[in-house]
Amino acid sequence: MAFDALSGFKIVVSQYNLTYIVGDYFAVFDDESDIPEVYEWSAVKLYEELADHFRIAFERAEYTIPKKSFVDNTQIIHFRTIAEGMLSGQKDVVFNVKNRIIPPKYNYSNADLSNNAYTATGVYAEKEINSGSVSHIYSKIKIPIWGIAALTAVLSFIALWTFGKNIEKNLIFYVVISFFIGIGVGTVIYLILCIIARYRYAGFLKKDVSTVENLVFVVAPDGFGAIEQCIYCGKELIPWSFAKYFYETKYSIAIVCRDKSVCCIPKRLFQKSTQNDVLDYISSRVEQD
Amino acid sequence: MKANVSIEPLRGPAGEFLLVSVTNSDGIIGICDTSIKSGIRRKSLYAGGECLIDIQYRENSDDTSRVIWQTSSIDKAKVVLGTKLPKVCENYFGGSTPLSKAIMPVAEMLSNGIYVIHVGKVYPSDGAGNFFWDAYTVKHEILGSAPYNPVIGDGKCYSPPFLIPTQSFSGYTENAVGAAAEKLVNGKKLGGIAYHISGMHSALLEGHVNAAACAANGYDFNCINIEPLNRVIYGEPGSIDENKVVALACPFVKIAFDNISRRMLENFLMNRSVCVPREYAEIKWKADKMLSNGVLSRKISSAIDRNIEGMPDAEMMASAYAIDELTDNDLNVLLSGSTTDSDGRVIISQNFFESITYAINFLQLKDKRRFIDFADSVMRNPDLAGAYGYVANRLKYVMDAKVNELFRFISESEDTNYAPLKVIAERYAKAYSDYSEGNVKRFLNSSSSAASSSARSAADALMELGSKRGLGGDTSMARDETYSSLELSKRIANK
Repeated sequence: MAFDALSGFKIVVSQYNLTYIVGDYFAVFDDESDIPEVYEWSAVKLYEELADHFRIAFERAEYTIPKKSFVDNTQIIHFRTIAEGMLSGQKDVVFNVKNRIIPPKYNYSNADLSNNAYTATGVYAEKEINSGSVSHIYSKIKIPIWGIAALTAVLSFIALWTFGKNIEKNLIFYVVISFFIGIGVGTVIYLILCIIARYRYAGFLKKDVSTVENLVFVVAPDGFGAIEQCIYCGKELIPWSFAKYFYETKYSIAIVCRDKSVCCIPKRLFQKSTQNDVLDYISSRVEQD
Repeated sequence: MKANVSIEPLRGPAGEFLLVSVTNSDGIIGICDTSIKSGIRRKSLYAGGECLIDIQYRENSDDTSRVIWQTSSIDKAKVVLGTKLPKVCENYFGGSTPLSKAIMPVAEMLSNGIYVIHVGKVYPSDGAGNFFWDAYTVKHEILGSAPYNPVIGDGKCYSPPFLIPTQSFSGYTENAVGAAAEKLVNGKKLGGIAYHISGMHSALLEGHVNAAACAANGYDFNCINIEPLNRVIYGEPGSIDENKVVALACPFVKIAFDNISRRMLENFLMNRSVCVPREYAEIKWKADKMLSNGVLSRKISSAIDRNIEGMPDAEMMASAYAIDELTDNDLNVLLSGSTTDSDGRVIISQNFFESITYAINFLQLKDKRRFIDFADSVMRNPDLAGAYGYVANRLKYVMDAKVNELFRFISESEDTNYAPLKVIAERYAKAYSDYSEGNVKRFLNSSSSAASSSARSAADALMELGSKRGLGGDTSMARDETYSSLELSKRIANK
């Protein structure tokens, strides 16, 4: 359980005549009855957040909460933080959470934020997300990219060898041309990745309300985190054991979690003097990709 | 910001109570989470920015006793609390204001949530025979503090009987206790305000001196008990409501959803079990500390010590809550070695020795005479040798001629079953001899001044009665005139 200090609240879904209350329990009032259905969060089987709604399924019931029922973006963040905080540590729940710019809250647990913690606050800049996204995809497929580039170079050389003239005289010229064709193909693939990253960022902008929120970035002895400032309580972190690896880009340090979500920490939000300390801190706890 | 408080008077199996809903509160009094280690929860009762009491336990361990200790004194929160708490006591126990009106100033200070408020008898003891001011300055597990008590089970409701002080021992002065005792003698009702913490234990927010005065003079001490209604009850396994919450509960009452208004239910559901007060950082920092009574020359009076020993402990209270009634026939069936009567009804439990111990505890609290008779029968029954140790330990503090006779029989017996009890028997014989001698001396001293002292304490009167027995040397008379100090105080008050 995490984020248990956030106060609960109710969401009125007028189209279904239902009122939901999220807090220590998940409760549903049918507007025609004063007796609610109250569920323990441990009874949740599926938790889903899609672009336009949340879906929570129990063994015998399923509830859909449209995002337009929320008063504002802060309330959406509040809702998913309470729900995911209550579901953290539960192994039987199927999570289907997409288009999140920061790691979902079910990765967090209560922790002691000692004085040694590094914190910074700010909104993501597009270049930080893009560089993070490119690096993230690149780190996953860099071997295939350069494999394809090398293969293209070899194939080009074979083609030139087969169809070219004065092979002995032009051998060095063919090698150079093949090499540059390989480089070119690799670069084109990389540029496609950049376009994908921009597209992905546009997706975040449309689908994740956290994109435009002020975020608090924390790097502490017990863990790390990126939490919206409107719900930040100062006592939750993602344990270091949840981190798989990290990579550094020009603009950010991105920590990849075991659930494949990425915690991208912008360098510019930290003072120049502490940027290296933060990097050292992270590299002493997680392997660099 | 003034809190919104709504109150509904209701009645439950354990008596009348007020169902109180608090919203928009500043949360001056409440419980917050101050955990520092994962897997171990620490909750703190606070008032203003002061952390008063810490409760520590392993996560998901509802049936294990809590470690409870005092961290600070409520006197330090006087700036925030003002004189509201004593005024509530004065107004209610003085009889000038009904509870629903008198409690308002305190209800407005509680953190948001639903509360059950009722008045009940409490004991200024830790449930293990210690005066409350002596028991909470060392971290240790407190008997009867587990939220789930296997003896009482899920079905029964009870009023938490034991108190944890929130004031430091420096608040105890003979003058203050004497003044409170004088009010008692003059017929004035004294009481306190308690906030339920865990299991059978509540924190005494107001009325420490009153509690000490009542304990010293053998009077009942009543408190306005505030119990956060924060436990839930689930639907029957296998039913359509399985995994659903169907009712709310606290020790005093269980309330199904259909008995609570929607507004109150929404209030319950929107409030988290752990509140975050404004001064959270300060409270969390203070929660690491522990109250020290320092080196105080003052000691509690011997009358308090004597009367606290006579008060019920957590096991007795649990058995008393678990058992509704035990007839002589039930006791005879148990002594015959059976746990069910002729109609097939389970008297207490299917487990025989569990039944014996629960019966012993129940009788010790409810009917001392039958307790001694039943314990005597158990101790002389060779088939119940397995229960000898437990029963002997229950009897060793009960000063009575028949118990003395029993322990003398044990000392002289050649039976090997009694061998482990010889030490207890010898110690009892010595204690009983001292007790009898002391009674004779007290009787001789008090008889000269008894006429002039109309406000004698119940404890002294008990001693006097004991000495009469000692002088008479007639055990049958002693048997007929054995009273607890509390019963005796009532008799004196009636006189």
